[in-house]
Amino acid sequence: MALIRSPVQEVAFTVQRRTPAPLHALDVAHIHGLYAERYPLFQQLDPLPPMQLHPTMEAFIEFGGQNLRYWFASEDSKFLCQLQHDRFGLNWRRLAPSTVPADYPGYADLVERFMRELEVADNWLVSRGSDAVPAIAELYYMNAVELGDRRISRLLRFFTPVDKRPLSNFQFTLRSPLPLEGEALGFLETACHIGADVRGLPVLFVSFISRMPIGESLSLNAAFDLMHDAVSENVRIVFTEEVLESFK
Amino acid sequence: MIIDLATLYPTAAAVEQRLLRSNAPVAKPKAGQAGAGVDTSLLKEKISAALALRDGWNGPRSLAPSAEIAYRVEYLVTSALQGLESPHLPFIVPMSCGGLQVEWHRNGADLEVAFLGSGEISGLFEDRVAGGEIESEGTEAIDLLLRNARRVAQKTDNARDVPRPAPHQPVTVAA
Repeated sequence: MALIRSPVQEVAFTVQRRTPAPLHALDVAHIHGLYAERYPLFQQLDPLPPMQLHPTMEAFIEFGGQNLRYWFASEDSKFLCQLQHDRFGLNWRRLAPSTVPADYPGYADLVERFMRELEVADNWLVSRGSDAVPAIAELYYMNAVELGDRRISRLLRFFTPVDKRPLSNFQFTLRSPLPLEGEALGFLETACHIGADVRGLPVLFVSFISRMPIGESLSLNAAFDLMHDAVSENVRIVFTEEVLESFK
Repeated sequence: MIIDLATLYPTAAAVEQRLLRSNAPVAKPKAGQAGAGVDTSLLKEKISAALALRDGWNGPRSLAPSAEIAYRVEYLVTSALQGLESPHLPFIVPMSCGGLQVEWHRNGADLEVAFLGSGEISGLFEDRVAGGEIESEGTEAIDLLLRNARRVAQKTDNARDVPRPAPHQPVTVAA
C-alpha cells in the first residue's frame, strides 16, 4: 500500500439494522471465529445508543446491560470491526501524526472492505433467521492538522480573527441537511476544536459525521457514496488552500 | 473573531442549508472512535513526557521513543480502559530501544506490556493473589493488555474474589 499525505486520522463506516438481533456469548464467539484471521484482537465494551437521523435530543436507556459492543481489531490495531445487536461498523485509524505519510487505503478501498465484512455478519444473521436489513448508514471522518505557529485563520476558510489575542478555546459545530432529490433525508455535521496530540503539540481537529436512511430509494452503497461526496465537498469548503496544498 | 457562515456555505440558498442546532455542543468522539470513554489528557501528558526524550537519553546507543509507538500505546491503553470511571493510569516507561513500556502494579497484580522500538510487543501479567503468571508476545500480548487492564486500573480493589455486602443495593425499576 502506497504511503500518502492526508489529514485523515480515522474513518468509520457504520450501518444500523432495521431489526436488532440480541447477541449471546456463543453467538459472539462464533462470529469472531469468522473474523479472527483478519481481526484477531477481541474486546468487549459498553453499547452505543441507537443512531438517530434527527438527533435534536438523544436518550438512551439500557435494560439489564444485556447488549454489549464487540471489537474485532486487526493485529496492527488500524482496522476494527464493531459489532452490536443493532449495528455493524468498520473503522480505520491512522495511529500516527498527520505529518507522517500514512498507509491510508482511501475511501474506495475502505467502503469495499466494509461491504465485504458486513456481508460476513449479514450472512451469519440470515443463516439463523434474523433480519439483516439496513436502516441507517453513517460515515465518520476525523481529520487532524498540526497548528504549529500558524493562526487558525490560515487553516480554516471561514475563520477571520479580528485581533492577536491568543485563543484559549475554540469549538464549532454546524449541522446541515443532506438532500436527496430535493428532500432533506440525512445530515452532515461538521465540528472543529483545538486539542493536543499525544506529543503535546496543538492540533486542529475537524470531524465530519454524516447519516442517511437506507430504503428503497437509497441503497447502502449509494448512501455512502453520497455522504462521501458531501464530506469531500465540505473538506474544500472548510480548509484553506494552504492546508489542502500541504496534503497534496 | 468572526465566523462567516456565508463563506462556509456559499451556495446556502441553492441547497437550502440551514442550521439545525446552532448551539449544539461540539461532537465528542463516540465510544467507537479514538479517544472516547477515557479522559486522555493525563495519559497524553505521561506519553508526551517520554516523547520529549532525544536519542542518547540513556547512553550512546539509546533511542528516543517514536511517535508511531506513542500513538499506538495511547490508543490501546485508552481502548483498554473504556468504561472505567477515573481509572488509574499506567506508568509509561521509556525503553532504550526506542519503545515504551506500560506498567501497572496494583490491585494484587502486575501488568507490563512492552512496545519495543523494533515493533515487537511482549507482555507479562502476574496475579499475586491467585499466584498465576502469563507471558505472551505479539497479538497475545495486546490481548493480555485489553483483558487485564481493567483489573489493575480500576479504583475499587476487586482482586479478591470474596463476596462482600454491596454498599448500596442496585436499584431495580420495572420496565
